[in-house]
Amino acid sequence: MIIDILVIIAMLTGLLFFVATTVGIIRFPDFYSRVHAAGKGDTLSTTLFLGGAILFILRDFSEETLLTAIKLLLIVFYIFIASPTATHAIIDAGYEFRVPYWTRSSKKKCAEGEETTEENLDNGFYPEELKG
Amino acid sequence: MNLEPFFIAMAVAILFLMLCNLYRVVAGPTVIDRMLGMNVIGTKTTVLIVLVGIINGRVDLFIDITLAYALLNFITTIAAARFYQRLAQPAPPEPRESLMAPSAGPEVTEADAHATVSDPVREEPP
Amino acid sequence: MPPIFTFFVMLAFWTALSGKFDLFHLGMGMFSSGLVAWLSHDLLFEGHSRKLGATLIEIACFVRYLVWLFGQIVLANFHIAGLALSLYPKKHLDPHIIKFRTSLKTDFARFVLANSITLTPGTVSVRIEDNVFYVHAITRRSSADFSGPGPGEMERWVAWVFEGGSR
Repeated sequence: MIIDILVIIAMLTGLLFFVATTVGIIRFPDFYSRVHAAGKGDTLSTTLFLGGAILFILRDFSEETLLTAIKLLLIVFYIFIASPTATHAIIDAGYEFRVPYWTRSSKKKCAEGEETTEENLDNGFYPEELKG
Repeated sequence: MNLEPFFIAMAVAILFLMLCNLYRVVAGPTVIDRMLGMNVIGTKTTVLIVLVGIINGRVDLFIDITLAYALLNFITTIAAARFYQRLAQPAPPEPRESLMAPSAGPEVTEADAHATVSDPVREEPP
Repeated sequence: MPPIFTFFVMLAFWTALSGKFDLFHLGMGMFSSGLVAWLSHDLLFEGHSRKLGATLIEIACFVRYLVWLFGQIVLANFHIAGLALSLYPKKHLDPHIIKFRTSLKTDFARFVLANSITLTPGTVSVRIEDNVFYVHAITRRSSADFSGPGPGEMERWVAWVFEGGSR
């Protein structure tokens, strides 16, 4: 009974974070902000969903369900490593390609090549100086 | 407590939100936006497979599919991102087209002609 | 120590995935994990030899760090949910990229730091070039940990876990 309520709470929280992720992916103005929504919300909501599934499976305890729960735990661990890495690969590719970005002071602006870089430095988007 | 209607509702909700993510895949301004949306959809597909397994009562059967799908999704995303990044980098200074297309025709230089001739010789049986 | 340690990790993984405990399957697991451990034992754990006790202490510190990191992940999700579900998200956003230099030495410590940056509120690591990190921050407040002088809080944590620094 208590386990059932815990399962429902975990899955509803995961659904809430997944809704936030989806809304962020649809609403945020540029690619980099969307990466924020995808990289964070995706990891935690998947973890919560699978955690709820682990609790539900362990409700009737036996050797087989324990094995299944261990496999699910492996998947959770794997997603915890793989999801930020995939996010990092995607945003690195986008940064290399200089996709259009959005800052507060300027509307959408495209950074292509060297000649626009000086202008972009004024917006404070690309880093000006290296911290010692 | 019978949790099966709850799991079905969860699966339907996840499917609906995946459709909303599909908007970003279809209408994304750049290719990399589409890749981002596909990554999120793929991660949620693992959850969906586990839920389907729970509803059918055969989680031990579906869990291996989930594991394989999680691995596959990660590798797909990494490969697509690396390909896109390679596309963004400037072309290498020496394209060496003559090596890639030996039948390119009149622009074959001395060394390349020698290489194309010497290849079948090397493969002759003794 | 490293090859035998890799062997036991591989064997545990095999047993968890196969789920059978008879002699045939365990024998095949020992054969294949022994083969993998013999061929590539310096991939999973880096080659320098260390004592077992130091590794165990490091794992304990890492688990302690993971607890702190999980709290940060929950905070990050509430942050991003608040931004996404607010009425005018553009009023709160101020995206920019900052660049800072880290003092971490090993590759694994840098990997952990980059993934932790991605999972904590408002920041995503964009690129690592040797010891220079490019971090994309979504608001000005969230990049404050990295733009101050000296290492930030998270870098001190990672240094505490892997390289014996003070927290």
